[in-house]
Amino acid sequence: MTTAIQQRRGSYVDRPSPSSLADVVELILDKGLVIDVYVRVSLVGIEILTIDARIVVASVDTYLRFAEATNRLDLYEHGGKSIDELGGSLSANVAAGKTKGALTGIKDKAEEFIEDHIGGGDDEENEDEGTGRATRARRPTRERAPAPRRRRREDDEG
Amino acid sequence: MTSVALAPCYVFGIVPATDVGSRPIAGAQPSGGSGITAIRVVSRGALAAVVGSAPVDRPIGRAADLRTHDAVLASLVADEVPVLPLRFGAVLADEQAVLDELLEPHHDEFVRALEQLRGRLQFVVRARYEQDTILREVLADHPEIARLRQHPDQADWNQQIRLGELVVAALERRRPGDAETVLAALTPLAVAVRRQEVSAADEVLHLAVLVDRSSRNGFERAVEECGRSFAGRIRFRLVGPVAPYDFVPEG
Repeated sequence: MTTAIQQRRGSYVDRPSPSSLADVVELILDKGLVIDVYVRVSLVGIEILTIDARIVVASVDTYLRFAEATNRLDLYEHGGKSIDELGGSLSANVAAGKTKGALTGIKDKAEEFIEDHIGGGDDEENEDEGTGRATRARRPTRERAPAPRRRRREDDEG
Repeated sequence: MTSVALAPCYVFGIVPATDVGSRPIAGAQPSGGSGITAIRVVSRGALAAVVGSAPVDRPIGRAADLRTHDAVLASLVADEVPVLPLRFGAVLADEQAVLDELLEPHHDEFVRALEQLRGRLQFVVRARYEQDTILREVLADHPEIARLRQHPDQADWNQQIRLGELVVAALERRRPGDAETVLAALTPLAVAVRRQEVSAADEVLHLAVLVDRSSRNGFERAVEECGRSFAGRIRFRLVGPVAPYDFVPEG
């Protein structure tokens, strides 16, 4: 699915090597030892904010995505024509098209966010299977108060 | 703003002092572009902290910083050094604070936790349905979904939502059985298994698994065997060994 995956010959399992940025982000964000002294992070005013790229994917979008996949399946079974080959004349594409538009918008937004806050250079990895969370650290505020850690999350099937 | 010289210290993780001694950390090269530099070890008592100099002119959180965090911890894992990974972004005022405020007060607790992790490795296993296969199964098992598909009025937004809703619900009913099969195959080879929330309707399972180094080959074979027996239906992804991010003592 992504350029980062190396499938070993004869293996049934994907063993990403090296790990994609998405793997690293998913692995290390919000994980690991946290202790009381941790609030001292605020000494240098660092706050880490994490988001899910799928944050704005409402459940309706999920439903429409699976409806689209199910409908596409139908088309494959009847002669292997894709929606694209059938052209834009199908009114069938109205709902699916809207979904795709919404999802593309979300992806754009997520990529934009990742670019802004993680930085470029890892573009191909940021698209990994919709797991592309992004992080950013805010500007140092030089406050002594503990910086609140925030995390927003909405499951796309919620 | 301030005239006080800052020497903030980024903490990657805590290791037994005897395992690192004074030798350099193999993976001590920060990723290009990372603000975390001069990776080194400071120790007190039986413990050592692997630290770096944190940037004072910009926040931490760039891709290179994340990669550096991961790479330094991964190099410790590769060297068979037990490590308690700190959460990404942990910074203390300076080296002295790492010794006095992190290692000293938690000394015994960290020593115990490290002994628990000695000789053990974390893996991450993710399993996801192959979409076309699973959708065909769903259609075969659910006449009402097949009916909606056979009389498509795809311009009807509500009907499309209903169709997707039924498909997602069918996937959710299917998931527990498949997830249990995989769990039953992998759990006997694990010291501990932590189940993570799945992140998509067609994801079957997301696991963090702690494995004895001596069981590593057997565990990898078991994942491979799951991949073989579910081939064409469920796709497996295995990441690791990684630092035991999911098996540190609860704060």
